[in-house]
Amino acid sequence: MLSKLIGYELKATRRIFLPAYVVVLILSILNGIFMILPDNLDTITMPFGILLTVYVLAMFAICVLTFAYMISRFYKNLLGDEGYLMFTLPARPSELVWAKCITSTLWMLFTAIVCCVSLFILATPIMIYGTDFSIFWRDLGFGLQSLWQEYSVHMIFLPIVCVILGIVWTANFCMHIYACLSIGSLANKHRLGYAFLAYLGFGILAEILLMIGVRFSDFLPNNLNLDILVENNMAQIYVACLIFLIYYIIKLIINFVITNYILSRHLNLQ
Amino acid sequence: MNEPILQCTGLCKSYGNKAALNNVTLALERGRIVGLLGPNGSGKSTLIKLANGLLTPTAGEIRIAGNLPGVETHSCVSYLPERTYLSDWMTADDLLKFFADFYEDFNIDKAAEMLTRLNISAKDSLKTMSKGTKEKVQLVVVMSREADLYLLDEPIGGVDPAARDYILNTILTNYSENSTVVISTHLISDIEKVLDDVIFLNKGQISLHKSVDDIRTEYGKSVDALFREVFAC
Repeated sequence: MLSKLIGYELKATRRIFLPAYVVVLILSILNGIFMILPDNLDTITMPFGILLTVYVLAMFAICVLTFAYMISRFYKNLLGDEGYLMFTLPARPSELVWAKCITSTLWMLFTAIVCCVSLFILATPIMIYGTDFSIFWRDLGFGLQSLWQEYSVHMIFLPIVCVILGIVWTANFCMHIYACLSIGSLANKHRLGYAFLAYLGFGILAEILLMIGVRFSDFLPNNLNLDILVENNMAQIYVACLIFLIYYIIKLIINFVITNYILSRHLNLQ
Repeated sequence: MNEPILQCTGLCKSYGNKAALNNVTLALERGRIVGLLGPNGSGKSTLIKLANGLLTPTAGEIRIAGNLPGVETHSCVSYLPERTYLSDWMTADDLLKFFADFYEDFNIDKAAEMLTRLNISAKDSLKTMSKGTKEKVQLVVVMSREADLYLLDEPIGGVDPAARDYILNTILTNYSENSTVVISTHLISDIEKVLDDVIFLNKGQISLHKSVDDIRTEYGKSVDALFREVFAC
């Protein structure tokens, strides 16, 4: 059932995202081409300025779109009129929530990838313009070789760990918004307002917990030398990543439990 | 099989301080067409939403074929809400495929045939359809399921009188003898001819639950006439 729901969710959202991605990539290609045109062509200055502005706006818009769509899909499709259909499907509320969370996380990751690819496309013509390719590839190879000598397998593992951390962070971010919207849905009126208040409330609570945590750490025994765990810089980075990963997984679970509890036990589609 | 298809026990639902349903106890048998009748704000839609698990009872419980509302009951209940729940990006064809994908009891051929009979093109986007046409499409998909219980909230309220007869005929011919249909509506005279039983709901409480035949025998008047008398302003 979850795979069907994700498939349906992707079908509902791809008609917005795919054209937006295509537009951003085309704009980056056009801007890249304009950048390597000779400076003395006064006639292209204005169109290039406009095109660059449109590109920057498009990049901004695609990020806003991804964020706004993540909220509106959950709110409209589950807590709005469409919820009358979704919550009467033979699917558990948890499956509905995970379908939304997984799809939104995927689109956020795709948006991040498209933005990176777009910047790469934009920069590529400048990088390769007038470059001797044999020198370019030699320098690239030399650079990668130096990095490998410095960091060896960490060059592969660290990006993987960072990507996993990024995925969990993004999923938690979506689930946190869903938890706030679910809390807001308990109210009979001004649901988005209450959802916003819930968001602020969670923020304040997190700050208080952080302060308590910092104070608590002062009382740890002095002889508890945590540095033993970290023998070098790379290990420190991995330990930090692991701590953040566990932290965001716990937050993800808490946000899911709140959302699922409200939608399972206190659904309020008036 | 003798278990009621829908059973409420001491069912209460409040919105803030306002009670929408107050201690409703009710059992509906299989194979009946039941009219859920009452003035605005009497709790009809609330009762139907509770049966679908879209609202949570304040007190008491509601069971469908012995189960609390959940995945199992959603598989055997076909629900038509009083509002449009369709996603605008879909075509009618997409909607049929969606229902076929999620409901095992959905008969896609029957649905396609009903759309054709109502002169609705399956290729039309739901976004471009009028409110009445959307309601017809919703009714088509809901009645194309072979469910145990149909909960229809205002099924003919938004459609033109010409389509009402077809819709009522659709309801009559598309449920099996073991299924129960609950129709909530204000348009009593239109549906009276198809009803077996009637429930009058007033201020969140059941004021009458009888068969149409009993009403005619006991009161010597039609359901419509009795409704006007009971709920006269």
